[in-house]
Amino acid sequence: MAPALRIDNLSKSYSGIAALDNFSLIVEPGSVYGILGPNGSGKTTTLGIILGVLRPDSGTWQWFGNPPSARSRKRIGPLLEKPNFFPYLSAEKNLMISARIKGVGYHHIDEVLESAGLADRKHSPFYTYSLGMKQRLALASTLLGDPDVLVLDEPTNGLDPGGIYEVRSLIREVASRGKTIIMASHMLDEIEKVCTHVAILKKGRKLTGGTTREILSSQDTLEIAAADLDLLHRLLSGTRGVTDISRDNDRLTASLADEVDVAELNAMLVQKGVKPHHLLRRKQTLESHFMEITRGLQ
Amino acid sequence: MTGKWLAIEKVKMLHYRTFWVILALYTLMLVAGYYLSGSFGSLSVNNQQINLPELTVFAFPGLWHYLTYISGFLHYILALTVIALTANDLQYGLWRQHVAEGMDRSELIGAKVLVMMLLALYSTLLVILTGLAFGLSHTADADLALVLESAGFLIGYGVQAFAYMTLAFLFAVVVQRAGTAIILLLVYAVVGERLILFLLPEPLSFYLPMAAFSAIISNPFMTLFGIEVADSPFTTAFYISLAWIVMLLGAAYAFLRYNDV
Repeated sequence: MAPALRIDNLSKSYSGIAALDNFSLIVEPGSVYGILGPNGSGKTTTLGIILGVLRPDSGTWQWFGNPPSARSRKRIGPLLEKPNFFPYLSAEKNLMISARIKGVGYHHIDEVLESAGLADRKHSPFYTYSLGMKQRLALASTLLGDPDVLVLDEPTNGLDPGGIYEVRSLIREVASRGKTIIMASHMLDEIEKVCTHVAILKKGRKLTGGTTREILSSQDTLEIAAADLDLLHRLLSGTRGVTDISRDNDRLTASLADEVDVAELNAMLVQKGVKPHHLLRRKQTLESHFMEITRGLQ
Repeated sequence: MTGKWLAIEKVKMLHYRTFWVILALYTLMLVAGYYLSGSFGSLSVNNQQINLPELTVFAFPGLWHYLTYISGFLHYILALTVIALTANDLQYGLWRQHVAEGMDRSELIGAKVLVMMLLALYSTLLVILTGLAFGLSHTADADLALVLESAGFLIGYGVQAFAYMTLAFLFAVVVQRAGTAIILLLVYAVVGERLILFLLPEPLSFYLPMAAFSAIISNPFMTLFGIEVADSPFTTAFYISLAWIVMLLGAAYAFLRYNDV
């Protein structure tokens, strides 16, 4: 089965500055693929290109094994950088335009407006909508015609916490029906919560890509102190999942893999004759982890 | 295909108040302009006062020539309408959205060409109805042959209206902002083409777009000075204009094809 999306060596620059540099990616059907990166890393450029809106300088891409075409885009629900609607037209009228382009019957419109919680405001002009409602309408438009793929650029942009929760639930619900979702985000926890796969972009270059579990598995920090620091050091060195041990005054710090159980570690040390009087497992913040990934991979 | 384009453009235009205001003003100006210029207009030639009705302003068969000529000055309003409609789409990111949702760039052009054709058709029908209303009440013994005698000007008029709109459309597609596009179009019309004329050798000047478009319908006033003018629109200018229409739309497509939307 052909991948839902295959990108080969895409590059694009704006007046000499590379926005995207030799970017390649394969998205298998049914996966939720996150493109993670700080602002200006090339996420929007990537999505703009695969949606046919932006022209790459070089490189190719394929949807479902076919070269890009207007026809293949009809199978995609696109959410661009910002909601694009006529301010003087109502939500319903705006979606009529989208439905026509996609070749979808107008009866779908009520359905998607309902799912976006906009049914009671469908006759209001778009300009009367709040930022969150505008974003929800844009999301509703992506669902028209039940497309095989959703391409979402910062889907929770401009939403309040309740809205963010709803959108993430919606994405999970759509994914659970076997649809492919490609989404860009600068929020690590969003990618972690929603995506099965992730590629990390920085300054237009892909730093790494793979399953979310592989890429984002975080290393916690262990702080430990006991009377005999030398013996403690030796014992920890021989323990699986404990790495980068260093001495910090009266205590040791180390990196801790996910699978290490601190209670068991403590029991093991006591058995070997070391009684820790200080033991602390510190969760790494996602932000610092992200910084670490991007720093380490450059 | 055209049904889809029509449906999309209909939703956009039907609720766009500015469009209807411009169209209403246009209609009023065309009818009133004809009536007032014909009723009260006069020219001074060799210290001799000549009233315009002597040009057979309101009577067949001269009517079509006069009416299509003076109505041609309002093509700028149609051009402005096309710029407003196109720039609207661009300003609100609609073309971007259309492409992402599965429209080809050629369809963006196609849909607007359809709109321009409809506007040219509306303008021509308006001229026909106005002409018939005035002509049948001012011509003593109008028969079909007399009415149709110089009706060819109507075809020239429709093509001329469409041609002006395609030029405006290209400006709108390239500069993407209504205000800038309108100013550029006017600057081109008033000085730009004259500047090029000045630089080009004489025979080529005839081939420039604005020169060709306006030459489709000859100036009927010239006959007052005893100068003979073409009594049909199907002169070289007509065919040059057709070529320009193809080139201008081709240029708009080429621009979209190789640029981001």
